[in-house]
Amino acid sequence: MLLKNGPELLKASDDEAIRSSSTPHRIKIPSVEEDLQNGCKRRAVPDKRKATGAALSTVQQPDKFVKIPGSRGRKPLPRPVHQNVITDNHKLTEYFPVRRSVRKCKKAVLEEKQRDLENKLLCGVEDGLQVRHFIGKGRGVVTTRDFIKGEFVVEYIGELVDQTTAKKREAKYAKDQNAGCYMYYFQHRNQQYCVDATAESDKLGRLVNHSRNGNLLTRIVEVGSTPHLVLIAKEDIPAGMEVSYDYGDRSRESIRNHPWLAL
Amino acid sequence: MFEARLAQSAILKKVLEAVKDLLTEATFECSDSGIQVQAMDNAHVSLVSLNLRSDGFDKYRCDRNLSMGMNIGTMTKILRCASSEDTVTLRAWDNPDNIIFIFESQNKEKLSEYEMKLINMDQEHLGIPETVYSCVVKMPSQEFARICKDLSQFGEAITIACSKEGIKFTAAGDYGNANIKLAQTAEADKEEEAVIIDMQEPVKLTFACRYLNSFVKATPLCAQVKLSMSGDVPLVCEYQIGDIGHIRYYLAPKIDDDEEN
Repeated sequence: MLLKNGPELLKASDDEAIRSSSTPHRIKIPSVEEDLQNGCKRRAVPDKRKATGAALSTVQQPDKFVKIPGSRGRKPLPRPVHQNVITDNHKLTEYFPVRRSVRKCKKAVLEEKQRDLENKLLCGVEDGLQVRHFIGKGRGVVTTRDFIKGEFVVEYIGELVDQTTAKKREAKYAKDQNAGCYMYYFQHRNQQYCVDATAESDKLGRLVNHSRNGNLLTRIVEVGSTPHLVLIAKEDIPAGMEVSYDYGDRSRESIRNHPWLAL
Repeated sequence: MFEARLAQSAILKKVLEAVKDLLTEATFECSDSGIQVQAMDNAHVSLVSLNLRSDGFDKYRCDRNLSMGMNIGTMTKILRCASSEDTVTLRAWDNPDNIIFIFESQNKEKLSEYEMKLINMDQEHLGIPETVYSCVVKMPSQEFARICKDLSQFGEAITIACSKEGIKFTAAGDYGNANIKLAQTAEADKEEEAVIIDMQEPVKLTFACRYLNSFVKATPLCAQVKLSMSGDVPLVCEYQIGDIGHIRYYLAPKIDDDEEN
């Protein structure tokens, strides 16, 4: 206050003596001014207090009991303050990179694998494979790139049907000499299913040949509660190799009809 | 198996008191070299980095690396059950679901065991680069705690300005402002009582009080605190923990007003 009024005062007074020793008169003039200003300030200060502090004490108290709807109580007050602290502060992640550790817990790895596999199934991925004709065997599937052990190779895509439908169809297909054998029976969650891939399609899964010691394994993968038949690399498979898996049918009748099942 | 023993639980008690305000849970990474914790607060504004070296323990054994997620609140409660003179042993098996705290009284007549469930956590780990800071200030930790406490009455942020002459702490608020200057100590008998400034370039940074006030909870751990600052990077606030390790707090600066506009 005094500092602020100082220069004004000096300007007003032209007497040097006054500057060095203050007279009662001199004090009185600023004190009036000061009072006026102080009055303003004094009013200003409680006003401010009302705006912030009062909400905490005086105004808030009746609110608590009367609960006037729409009135500003204490509760909403701290929230913006807290938000402020967060929003007007930089985050550490802006300065330090989040280190993605290569090490993950087993569960996360498995989940990731499953998600990846599901994606591949939903997209119908069939890359790294091509159809080749084999003399005496017909069509087969050959790799065009290396597959590592455990890697997804292809899905056995067809129509998923229940057992009764499958049996009926099998009887129908049996009459047709030209139809190959494309029915894959499997059990999942105590229920018998069959993937019928008899209908000709451009999918590669149905063309993979049988071998009792093939380089693929079948696995059932559930995507959105529908089981899918998936062929997985049993070992590292180099490019240019034919892929095959064990059809698993050892019944005498089947072998009589399809002698290659014993190979 | 993992086993770590400290002759006096006081250190661990103090460490927990020093982190419990900022963290609700944290992963304790245990390896042959010791125990490490790195965790951010929920708002991702501050980070606690704790390092306890294996050679600082009276007995330390860690057969394989372990990551143990612990609830800091529960851990604090358990450690409050130990008296400061008790010997404390942490024990866990490989692939643990629990960690066991064993407190043994000095006269060996009382043995308390507390078992705490571990939690599975997916925490982000930050890569903190080695940084050469423009200003490194060493000062008595109690002085720093006092300054933070005093200044936080005036505003929610403290501006730290450091120059060759000294370090200046400022807080401004609706009711007034506060300013504390500390000059570099010319000659000090004891290092921990001195203000030592190692400056390459002057810096001025603003930080939120509430985090600084949480950091100074580490004051009982060490008589001296080291503040490292550079323009527009997080503040590092470091306390040594005896000869066993250290605790470092990182705090991101406040967004400048002109930065906002």
